[in-house]
Amino acid sequence: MEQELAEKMGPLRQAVTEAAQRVLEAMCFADVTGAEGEDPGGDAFGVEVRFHGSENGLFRMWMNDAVACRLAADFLGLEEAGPEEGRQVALELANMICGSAVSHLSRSGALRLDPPRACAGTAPEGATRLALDAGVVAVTLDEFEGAEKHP
Amino acid sequence: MSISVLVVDDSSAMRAFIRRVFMLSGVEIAEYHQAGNGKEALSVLEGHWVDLILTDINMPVMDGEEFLARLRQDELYKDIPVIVVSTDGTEHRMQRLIALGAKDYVSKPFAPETLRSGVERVLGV
Repeated sequence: MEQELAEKMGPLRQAVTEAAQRVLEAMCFADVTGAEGEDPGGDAFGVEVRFHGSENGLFRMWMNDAVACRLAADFLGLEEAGPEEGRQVALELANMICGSAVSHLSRSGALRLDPPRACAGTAPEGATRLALDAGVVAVTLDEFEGAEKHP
Repeated sequence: MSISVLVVDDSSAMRAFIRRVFMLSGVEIAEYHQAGNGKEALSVLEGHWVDLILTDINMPVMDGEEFLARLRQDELYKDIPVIVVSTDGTEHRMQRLIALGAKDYVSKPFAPETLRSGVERVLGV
């Protein structure tokens, strides 16, 4: 099954899809119902994490405020969460998804993640769109060619 | 058994999540202290004794590796057990932190039970 998924999606996309599922299910108790959802919606915002070391690249994630608030409430154990809490939790989720995906790609190498931050733009066509009960989360993972690599 | 804990993470959301895990775990917390980086954590320790420290690695100002090294060099703090809770799950990092004196390593994401069992193992409860 894992090999089938890798052949179909490519290793980077498979790694980030599986990492997003792991993080959303473990930390937010979210039920990821599919990996081919629709766009996150008009008010979607983006967050990004750059990583350096044995792998170099950029992780990005998009979701709308409603999804962020739902995930934040579940993450923090609250009945409801506001947009600010939603954005804060989205940053932490991005950090975890990126770290988890890249660690799986390179388990023996050194790795450093920059602090997560907001990013402009919308999810590109090639992004993985994860369907949750609360809406859609889109993610991408891109490696930089020719970047400095450390042993 | 009631313990005092210091949680060091630059994410306020993660500090809140860990606090929630403790509340659900059944481990009784006498005092719950928080810091956003290693430097802040050392300041907290100047005024409070803790039984256990949970720390992230990638943090601004003073990261988890330097914080751990500072603890191990200090006669007063060197025996406080430290659990590292980090997104970096590479073997390279884990081995380095265990060599620096971390008692356990929990990779994010983790199930609440994973953190609870790590705390119980380190504290022998």
